[in-house]
Amino acid sequence: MEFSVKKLDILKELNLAQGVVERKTTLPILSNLLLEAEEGLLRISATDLELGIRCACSAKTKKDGVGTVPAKRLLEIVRSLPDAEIKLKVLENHWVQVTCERSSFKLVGMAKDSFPVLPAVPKPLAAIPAPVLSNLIQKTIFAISSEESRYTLNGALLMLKPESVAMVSTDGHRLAMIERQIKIAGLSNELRLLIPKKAMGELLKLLAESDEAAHVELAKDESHLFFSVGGRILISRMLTGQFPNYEAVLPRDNNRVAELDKDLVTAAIRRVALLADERSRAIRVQLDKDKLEVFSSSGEYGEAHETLDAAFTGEPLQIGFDYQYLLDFLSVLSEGGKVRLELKDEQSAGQLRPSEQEAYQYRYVVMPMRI
Amino acid sequence: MNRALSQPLAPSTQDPTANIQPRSILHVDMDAFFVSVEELEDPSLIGKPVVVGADPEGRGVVAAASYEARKYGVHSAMPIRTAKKLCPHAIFLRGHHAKYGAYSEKIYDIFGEFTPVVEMVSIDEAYLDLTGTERLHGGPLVAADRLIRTVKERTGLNCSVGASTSHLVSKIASDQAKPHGLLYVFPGCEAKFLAPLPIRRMPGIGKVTEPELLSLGIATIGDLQTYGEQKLRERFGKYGEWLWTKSRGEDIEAYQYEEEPKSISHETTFDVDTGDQEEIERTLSYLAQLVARRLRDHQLFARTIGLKLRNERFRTITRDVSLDEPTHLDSVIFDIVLRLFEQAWKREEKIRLVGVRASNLEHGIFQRNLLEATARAKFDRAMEAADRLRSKFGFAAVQLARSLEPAKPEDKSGPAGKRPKTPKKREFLGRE
Repeated sequence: MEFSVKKLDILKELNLAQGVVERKTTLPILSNLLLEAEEGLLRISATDLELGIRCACSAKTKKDGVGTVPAKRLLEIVRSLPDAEIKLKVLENHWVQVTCERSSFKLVGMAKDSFPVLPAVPKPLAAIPAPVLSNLIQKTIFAISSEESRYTLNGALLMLKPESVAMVSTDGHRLAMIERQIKIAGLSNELRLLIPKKAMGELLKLLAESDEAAHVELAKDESHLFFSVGGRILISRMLTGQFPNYEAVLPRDNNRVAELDKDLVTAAIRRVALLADERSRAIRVQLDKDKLEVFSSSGEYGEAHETLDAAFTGEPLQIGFDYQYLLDFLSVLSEGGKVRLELKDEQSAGQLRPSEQEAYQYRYVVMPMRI
Repeated sequence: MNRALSQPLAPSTQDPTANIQPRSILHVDMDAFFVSVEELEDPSLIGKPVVVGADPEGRGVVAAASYEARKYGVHSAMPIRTAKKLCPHAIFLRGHHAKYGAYSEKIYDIFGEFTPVVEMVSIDEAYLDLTGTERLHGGPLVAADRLIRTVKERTGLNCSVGASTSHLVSKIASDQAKPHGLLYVFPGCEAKFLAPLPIRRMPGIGKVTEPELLSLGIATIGDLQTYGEQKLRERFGKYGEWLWTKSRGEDIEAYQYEEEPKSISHETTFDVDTGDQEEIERTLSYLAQLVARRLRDHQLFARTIGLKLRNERFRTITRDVSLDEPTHLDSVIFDIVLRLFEQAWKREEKIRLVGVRASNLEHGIFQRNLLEATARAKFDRAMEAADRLRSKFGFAAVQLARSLEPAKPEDKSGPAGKRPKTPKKREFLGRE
């Protein structure tokens, strides 16, 4: 294998691949990238066995072939090189030589045969506009559980229908749900996919690199999900198991509704949170006629209090929340605008949503704290 | 080290305990509690030797003996067969543990009227910290007298009270005062009060230490006092310091008195080692409810639930589980101990003792669960209602179905001879 590429072309792909490369070096080959040069194209693959990525860039191929290189080292080397043409060449014993202008590196590679075979991409089932999928992920990824024991909560549920797309995530304490009416090309039946959190994170990076008009093609085989966009493919092992019956926990009769200035309430919670108990992260929210008050107290440091104007006319209510759960939601909303806080009582789930909902219907359900 | 830096920042250099008045601790011990309850229910027992405990033919122990039975040398914790030998004509009762529980709760409520700091150490014994209640109840002597009368008036039961500045002295004093007596040790007289007592009377000196102390010529607590702190420490190290402090009637934990339990546990030993899964599970269910009830009494929630198992060969294991949402609910605690039990129990082994423990206690500030919210809220309300019924009718009034025996036999265990053969009953002697 011998080829040359432009630094910026290969750097972009190496950055994307790096997110997938196994960090713990359990299997040495998983710290390596698979490089395949063929007819003017360089294909780069990486996997940690849970997730795989295949991307490509154009290259001047002198001799077709395959090699593997330590991913992190190659990324660091390429990053450090001047913006110029970089040559790669497989030497004997799987070593790979990297040269650029006056610099030269020889990297210890491994036998290409020990690199795991990534599954082939099946026929696509549906295509979603890249910016739509990107928004769905951003609005839900933070509510996914990172407790490994809660296996089915380690991902979000993507629901595709011919006329709509929706994504839901929960960690058992709060739930984020977003949906949009949109024609989904190539779909006749409802399709429900459980996407692991790590795949969503890498997918976001891929989507950020693709252009506005691009579509993500979705496919699956028995145990994998495939996301193809802009010539790159992300492959994820499928999460099995039953996603909880989220519809049962969506509040229906939360009729204490307060309308709040989103930026003001976010800032107020951030300030009051400074003196919240560090372990429980509990703050107390009190709703009264036309105002909302936020309180915190920590045995160690003291207490804080802030009053906000709020459009509210219902029965007064005091309720406890984990401030981080509120901030997680508030900080993914776009700047400005108003947000609705819909409550029932101090022990039932509260709901938050942007007051002005246009293309997307977005809601966040959060259980209160017992205080 | 820089001298200036080592100075305290605030002028709080005096001994922080200097201004604290001596504490006022009562130890209240019910007189022959189980037997007295039986006598209330059946006055024909009064004045007769009565023994409450295990099956007199089995290998259990005496839970309580009337003062008449004690004259024959019968005492609690004695093997029941020995009791039968000593006093063959005694009336042997299996006991009505639900009733004892109900009386215990009544007594607990009375204690609560005297002070918020009540530490029930067992079903019939408690420490009350009356420090700072003098203006309300008068001195300890007046309060203790009123306590004894109130208990008698409202429950018909006798109790004995020891009063002093420490747990240790009050405990020994209540024992000296028995039956139906009151002994007050004036502040400053603790060491003098203890001095003539044999060392074995001091809790914490047992079979191992006693001979060693005797060999040093220490026979009474007074001997301990004269032996001196220095020599005790040289001989026994940390334990020597402990002996010295105790010998003068001081509580080791003085001034850092824990008003709140660090853990709550209940355990019980089976009459006969059992491999009957249903019986074990029934017992676990009952214990889980006791633990849950006490958590709710203290307004505490447990983040860790544990199971204790001891098999026929005395091998003891404990298993713990940490919860994502702390609980004080009977059913949640029971589900967990049941799961732990299923994992830990080897079917071929017989079980001697089971226990349920709640630890990692916290004050109920926690994140509620979304996915199980409806079920939990329902159960919360159910338990509130159950606790209301229980405080009216006793703990046994409301039970998880799992703790009930199938086709419950008649709960009237009369004197041993007449009693029909019924399945083995559990004993709840193992309460802390």
